Amino acid sequence: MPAATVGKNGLGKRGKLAILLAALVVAAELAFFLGWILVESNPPGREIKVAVETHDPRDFLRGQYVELDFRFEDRRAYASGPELIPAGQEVWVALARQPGKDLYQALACDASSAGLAARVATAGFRNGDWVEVKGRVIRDNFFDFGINRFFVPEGTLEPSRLDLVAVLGVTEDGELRLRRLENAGVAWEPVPAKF
Amino acid sequence: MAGFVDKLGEFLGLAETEGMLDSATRDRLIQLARSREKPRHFGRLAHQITFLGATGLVIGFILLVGANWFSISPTLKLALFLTLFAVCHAAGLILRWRGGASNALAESLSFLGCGLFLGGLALVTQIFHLNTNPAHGLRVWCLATIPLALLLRSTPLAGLATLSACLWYIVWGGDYFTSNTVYAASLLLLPACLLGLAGLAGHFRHMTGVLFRTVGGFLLALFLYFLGFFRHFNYATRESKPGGNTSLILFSSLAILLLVLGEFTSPRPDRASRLALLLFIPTLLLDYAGLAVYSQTIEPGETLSFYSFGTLHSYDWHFLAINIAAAVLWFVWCIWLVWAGVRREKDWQVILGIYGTALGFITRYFDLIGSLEETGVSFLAGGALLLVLGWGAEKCRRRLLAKTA
Repeated sequence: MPAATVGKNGLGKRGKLAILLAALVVAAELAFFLGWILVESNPPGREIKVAVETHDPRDFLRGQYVELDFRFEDRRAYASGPELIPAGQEVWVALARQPGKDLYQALACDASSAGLAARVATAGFRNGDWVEVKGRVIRDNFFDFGINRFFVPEGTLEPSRLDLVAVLGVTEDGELRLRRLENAGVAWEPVPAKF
Repeated sequence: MAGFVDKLGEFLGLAETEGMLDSATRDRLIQLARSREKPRHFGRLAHQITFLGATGLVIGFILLVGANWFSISPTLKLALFLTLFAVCHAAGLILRWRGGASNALAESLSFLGCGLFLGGLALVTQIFHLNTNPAHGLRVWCLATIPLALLLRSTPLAGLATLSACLWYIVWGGDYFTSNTVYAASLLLLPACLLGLAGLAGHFRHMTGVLFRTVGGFLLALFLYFLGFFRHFNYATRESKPGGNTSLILFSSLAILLLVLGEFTSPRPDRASRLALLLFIPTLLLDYAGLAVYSQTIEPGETLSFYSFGTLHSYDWHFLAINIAAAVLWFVWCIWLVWAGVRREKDWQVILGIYGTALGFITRYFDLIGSLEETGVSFLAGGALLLVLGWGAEKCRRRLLAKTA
């Protein structure tokens, strides 16, 4: 940048420093986006498939999405676990592969990871047959794993009549990530409605 | 269009030709006028059009990507966003470096970049189906905008940061506070913080101070208006979450401290900020009184019941009293605005006061319509108030006529 131009426009040392610092802030924001995209594109951990029911609400803040309901979000789906897990707590659940199927289902839940391991051991399951997943209790005995919204473009047909399966990624920390929906073994693509 | 200083220069030049003043005095007068002239960069039509254009571009970009969601691959969408974000910010900063701080295009490019940040958050969230709380996104947006607004001393960016902070608090508070009463009471913190910041920002940039004060004043008036409907939302929505009330007390203390600090360290203590403070104090007292009744620090009062279209509405007398006090304060404030506006020949104050009074009457008419008893009492009170107003207005008119005669 020619020094004469800068001087002519009355931008002092502090002004220049402020612009340079602002450039650093912008670079940090870009790095934040790049890092976030990289992390979300390649989530570590294994993939599991679970049965899902779909609804079709809209949200002014988040756009249109398909609401996904999972059986394992309800305490009643688990054969083993405390009677009551109060709202606001963390919850640990075990999902086990259904015999002879690809799908995982609710096995046991507990307020701690150690307690869950003990419950699974009692049930006779070995490592590899089940996955440990962490969630939050949003109201008494109802759990949230942050995988309930599958975003679709405006005007997509509601997929409620399809027999959909959700493919979830389980990170090493036990968090779930929604990867895709499948219909009869093929990735489900949102279908635009014809008007 | 010739500005005030140009016109003054022409006029003083004429006076100098007539021999009424010498050239040195003329120059000193022009210099004085130039030094007192307020910066008007943001008010210029070109700036406003540029900012509208920048806002339109952000919205258009987001909508177009949404409309072509199937045709654009996720990678392309992300690449497009990152490129646009980087180019906007880089161009804005380069223009600032070359053209100084008052470059309209540079301001709008930075504004566009900061707006795109929110678009980027939404884009990544949607592409990877992340079910996150919108409050987290708004908080990140706010944290990303504040440093740029401070470093670039930009009023539009300060406005964007204010918007993101207010939206974040509104969304976050709705989730955090378990009762409507506590949540509603906590919203008074927003104008308190903004009015406090207005005083502090005045040290650095006059226009930013004006922006904070305007938004803070608007939110304060809005809060008072809704406090006039207090009896409708004083119930708990969910089970009490521990710490909700403690956090409110802590936030309130901080906001009031900020307000006092800003008010008393303001470099240009003016009438508008003092008057905002005068409106703030009774509003705060009403707000705290509502909380005290809600938390039963004050014993619950008698329950008053009204039949309305076959339904029985029951209100605690204390809640009703706060509701009425807030409504009266609203009307007093609006009428004061008209009176002060007429006295100081400020048209905008008169218009604001008239619109505020009209809004109050119209909405309260629909709010209070119900049983014969309820409607009768409200019409009696409203009629009496209008009679007093009419008497006062007539007295003013006669005094004015006597003066002019």
